[in-house]
Amino acid sequence: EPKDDPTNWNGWYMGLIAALAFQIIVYLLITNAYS
Amino acid sequence: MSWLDWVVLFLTLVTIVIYGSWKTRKNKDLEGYLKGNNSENWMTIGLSIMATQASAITFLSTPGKAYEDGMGFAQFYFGLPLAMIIISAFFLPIYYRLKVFTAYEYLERRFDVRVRAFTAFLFLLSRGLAAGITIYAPSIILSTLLGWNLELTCVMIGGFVIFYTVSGGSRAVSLTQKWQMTIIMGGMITAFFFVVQSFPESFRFSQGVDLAGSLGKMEIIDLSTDFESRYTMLSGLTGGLFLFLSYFGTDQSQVQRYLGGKSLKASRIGLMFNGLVKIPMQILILFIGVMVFVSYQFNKPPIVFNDHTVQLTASQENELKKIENAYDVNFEEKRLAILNLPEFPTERDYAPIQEMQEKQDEYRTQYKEKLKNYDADYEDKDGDYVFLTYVLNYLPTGLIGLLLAVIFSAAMSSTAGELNALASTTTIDFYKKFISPGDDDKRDLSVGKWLTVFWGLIAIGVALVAGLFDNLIELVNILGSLFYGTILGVFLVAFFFKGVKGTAAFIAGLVGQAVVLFIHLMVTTGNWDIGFLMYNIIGSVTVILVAICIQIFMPNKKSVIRES
Repeated sequence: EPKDDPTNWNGWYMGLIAALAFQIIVYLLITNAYS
Repeated sequence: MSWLDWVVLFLTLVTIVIYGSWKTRKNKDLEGYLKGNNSENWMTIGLSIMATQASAITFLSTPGKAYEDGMGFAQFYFGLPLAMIIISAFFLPIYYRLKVFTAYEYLERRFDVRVRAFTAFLFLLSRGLAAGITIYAPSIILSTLLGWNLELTCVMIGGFVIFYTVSGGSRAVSLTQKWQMTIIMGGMITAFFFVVQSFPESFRFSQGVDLAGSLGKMEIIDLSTDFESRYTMLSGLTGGLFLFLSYFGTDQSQVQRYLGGKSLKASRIGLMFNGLVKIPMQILILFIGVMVFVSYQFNKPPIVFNDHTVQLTASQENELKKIENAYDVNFEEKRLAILNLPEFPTERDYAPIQEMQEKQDEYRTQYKEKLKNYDADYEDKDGDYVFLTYVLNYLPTGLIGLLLAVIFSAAMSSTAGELNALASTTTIDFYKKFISPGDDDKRDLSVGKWLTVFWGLIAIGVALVAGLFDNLIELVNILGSLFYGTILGVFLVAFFFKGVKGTAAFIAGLVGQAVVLFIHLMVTTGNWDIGFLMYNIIGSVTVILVAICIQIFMPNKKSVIRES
C-alpha cells in the first residue's frame, strides 16, 4: 500500500464479513419465526 | 395526478439537472471530464455506486416481488459484500497504481491490445443496449398506469440525462447521483410510513407483520441446495458473488464511479459502504412490498394489476366478470375474518385466512389464464405494476409526485452512469487508441462530449423500438449474462495468474465465450436446464482453465503461478 495509509484493511474486510454473517443470522431467525 | 404532484415532480427533476450542470461547468480536459480530477470522497463514491446499480425497475419491481413471493429475493445480494472485499483487495490497487481510465485499458498493459479491444467491445455492445432498456422499462409502466405518451416519456428521461451528463461529465454524474439517491431513499421511507398508516386503526403494525408472516411473506432465507429454486442462500453466495464481481469489478459503468475517488482509501471505503448498506436497503424495499400486501388485505387489490388492451366480446367479458365476482366475495370474507382476529392469533386462527388467500391467488391465476387465451400478447406478469398502482391509488397528493420523482431519479441516475461509461470506453479504448493517440485536450474533450450525445441517442433509440419487439428486452437482459463470465474470467487470469500472457488469454476468452453461447443454445432449445447465474461461473472458470492449459503447452512457456 502507499506508505501514508496505515489503515488496517483486513480489519475492515473482517468487519464487513461479520456484518454479513450477523444479517444472515437475523434473517434466519425471522424466517424461522414465521415458517 | 394533481397540480401539486406535477410541481413536486418537475421541481425535483429540474433542480437536480440544473445543479449537476452548474456545479460542473468548468471542464478543461479529458481527465476532469472522465475522472472528475479524482476529487470524490467515500460517501459520494458509495452513493454513486448504489445509484448506478439501482435503476427505476429496482424500485418498481422489488416491492412487487415481495407482494407475490415474499422476501426471498434479498438472498440474491448476499454475495455482494464478498465481491466488494475481493475488488477492494485485488482489483482497486492495480487500477489505481496504473492510473487507468477504463478497466479494459489495464488489460492491454497486462496482455495485449486484442484482449483490450475484445472486452471493451463486449462491454459497449451489452451496455449500450442495456442503457436503452433502463429508460424503456419504467417508461412503459408509467405510460400504462398514468396514460402518458410512451415515446415522450422515453425522450424526456433520456433528454434530461444527456443534458447534464454531456455538460458535466463524470463529476456531474456523481454529484447528481448523490442527491438522486437521497431523494430515492427519502421517498421510499416516507412511502413506508404512509403504507403502514393505511392499516385500520384497530390493527397494529406488529399484527400486520404477523399476518404477513402467517401468509408466507416473511421467509427471507431458503437453505435448500436445490439449484431449481430461484433464490436460495447458496445461489446468492456463489452465483451472486460471481455476478457482482463481474459487475462491480469489470463493468466500466461501475469501475468509472470508483476510479474518480480522491484516493485509494476513499474508493475502498466507498465500496465497503456499498457492501454494508446494500442488503439492508433491499430488505427495506422488499418490506415495503410486504406492507403493501398487508394494506391490500383491507383495500381490495385489482384482480390483475396490468389491464388488458384488446376489445373483448360480451361472452368473454361475462366469463371474466364471473371470476371477478367470486374474487370480490372471497376478498370481503377474508377482510372481515382478519378484522375479527383475536389480539394474539394462533395458527388455528390463521388457517381459514390462509385458505382464503390461496383462493384469492387461484382466482387471480384463472383470470390471467383467461385473458391470455383471449389475447396472446397480454403481459401476465404484473408484479412490476403492483407498487405504482398502490402509490397512485392510496398515497396522498404531493407524495405521489415525490414517488414519481423517485422513479425518474432512479432511471436517470442509472442511465447517466451508463452513458458516461460508454463514452469513456469509446473515447479511451477506441478513439484515443486507434484513431488519434496524440494529446489535444480541447479536441479530446469535445470528442468525449459528442460520444456521450451519441450513446444517449442510441439509448433513446433502443428505448423507442423496445416496445416493437417482444424479445428485445429479454435479449438485452440475457446479453449481459452471456458476456459477463468471459470478461470476468479474463480479468481473474490477469490478476491471479501472472504467467499467462496475451495470446493465451485472448484465445481463452474466445473459447470461454463460445462455450457460454453453446450452453445458452442448449438451454434455449430445451436440452439443458442451467440458470443464468451459472453462466457467469461456467464462463469464467472455462476462461481460466483454458488460459492456463494454452500457456503451459505453448512454446516459450513460463511457469503459471498464482500471485501470492
